[in-house]
Amino acid sequence: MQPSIPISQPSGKMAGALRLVSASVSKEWRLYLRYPVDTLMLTLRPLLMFLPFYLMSAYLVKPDTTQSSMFGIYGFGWYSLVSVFFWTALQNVVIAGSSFIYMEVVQGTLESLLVAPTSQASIISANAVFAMGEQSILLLIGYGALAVLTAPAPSLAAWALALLLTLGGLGVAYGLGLVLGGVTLVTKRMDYTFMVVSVLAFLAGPSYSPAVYPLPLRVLAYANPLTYPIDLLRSELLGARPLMDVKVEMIVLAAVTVLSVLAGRWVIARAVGRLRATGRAGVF
Amino acid sequence: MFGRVFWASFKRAMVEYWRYPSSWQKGLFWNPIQFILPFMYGLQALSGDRMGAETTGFVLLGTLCWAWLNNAMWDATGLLQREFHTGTLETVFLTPAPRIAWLLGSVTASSVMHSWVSLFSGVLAFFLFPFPLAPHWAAVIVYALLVFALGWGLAFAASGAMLYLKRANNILSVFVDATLTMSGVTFPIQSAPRWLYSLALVIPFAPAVTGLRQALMGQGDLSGAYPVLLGLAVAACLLLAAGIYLFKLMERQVRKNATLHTY
Repeated sequence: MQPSIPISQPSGKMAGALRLVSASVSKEWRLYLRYPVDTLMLTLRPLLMFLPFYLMSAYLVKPDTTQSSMFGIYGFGWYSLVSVFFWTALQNVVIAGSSFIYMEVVQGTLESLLVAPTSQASIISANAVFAMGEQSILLLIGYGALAVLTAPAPSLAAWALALLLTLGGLGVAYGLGLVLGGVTLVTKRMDYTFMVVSVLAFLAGPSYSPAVYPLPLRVLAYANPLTYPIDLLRSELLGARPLMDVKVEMIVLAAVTVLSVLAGRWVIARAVGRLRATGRAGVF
Repeated sequence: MFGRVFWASFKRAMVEYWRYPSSWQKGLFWNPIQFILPFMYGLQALSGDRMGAETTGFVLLGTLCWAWLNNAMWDATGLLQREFHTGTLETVFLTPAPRIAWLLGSVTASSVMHSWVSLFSGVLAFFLFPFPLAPHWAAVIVYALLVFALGWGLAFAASGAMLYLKRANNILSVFVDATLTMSGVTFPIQSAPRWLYSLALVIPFAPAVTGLRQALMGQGDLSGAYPVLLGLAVAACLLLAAGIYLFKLMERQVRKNATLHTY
């Protein structure tokens, strides 16, 4: 039987990292095929997150027409659907690294992982990369519904920009996932990941613009790296009113993407080093 | 034996909350931020200045109920999952301890903890989004107990499914979210189309959540609610019995297949 993660015959750092990613993605993919019903349900989860918002707008309160520019040209339903699908994708990528580490902790295999002659950052990254691929499929379903069911559908240029923004958003989520993975490595619990993710989700405005928040929350929303990909996507794809100038938001998004990935790799390296130095990899 | 196992399990869970404060501190973040505030600000974004106090109370109490039920269900299945992943599930199940007492102890501890978290979330949200609160306490207690019983029934059923399927997070998540969404936590089920209304009627959470919400907002007391309460009590007993039966059935099945500790 072939080992899932090849730790021998490294021919260069990059080749080794790529082999790790490939092995990890292949392992996760086989798990998905092994549990098809669970996989199918995964695709339904964003819908279930969207429904309470949609039902609220459909049967409790009709959208205020004076607020229509906030929700763009397709109305609250599509605004909320795209927002929730995109947010769910980002959230799942952010959580992927922490979940992987937490599983290693509860299975008692974290120490073995840390003493293996391989790059721990690459293994954790590999899980985030798989989550990015998996979530991209879910996003395509949401985007596909938008393309098929709306008239006029967004233009090709808008789709190209949406693709770029999706990649940017996934990049930020990947970096943040590494940072929170480092925190999970040190604390051995996922609680802090959930706390941070819930705050980031809320501040980004899960189905509305953060413009509705009172000033202190709006300031925090501006400081949230995930606010920008979501806000830009809603603005470019749905014609919704952006929080600030689109060009400025794009520059901020590019900067936070690079910064979060660098910060993530730094935090993981520090966390691994700290666990090795203190000998706390196998204990709480 | 039942009482001793229940107490041991309850105490263990409470000690863990004490030992790892982040486990309940997470609830203080997760509850209001994931379940309540997004809907309140969503409501504000949708209605602009037309957001009435009654509508505010409707959504706030509905989502609060949802948060509580959701947490209680996940804590029960989380306990089984953790024992499974740490490789101690079979050891626990080889003891003569009643499984239901073991699960119930943990679920009760979780309910106690989440009740405090829900109270905190409710008070916080009430100050941010005030609404007319005029509780009929007797009705509130009766409805809350019924919601607890229904939630526990669902938690046992979910635990049974987890025991059998092992990897079932997404299945359970979809099931629980669909159940609660269709229970009218964010919309009045009476105004929904007929198919949705009919679906909500067969889900016992819908009348329980509605009753609790009305009792808290002073729109209904116990007088005249006896038929609904009786129906809910029967539904709670049935759901609890079905949950326990399903859990035992799944346990028998995994023992027969020798897959208690394996996939």
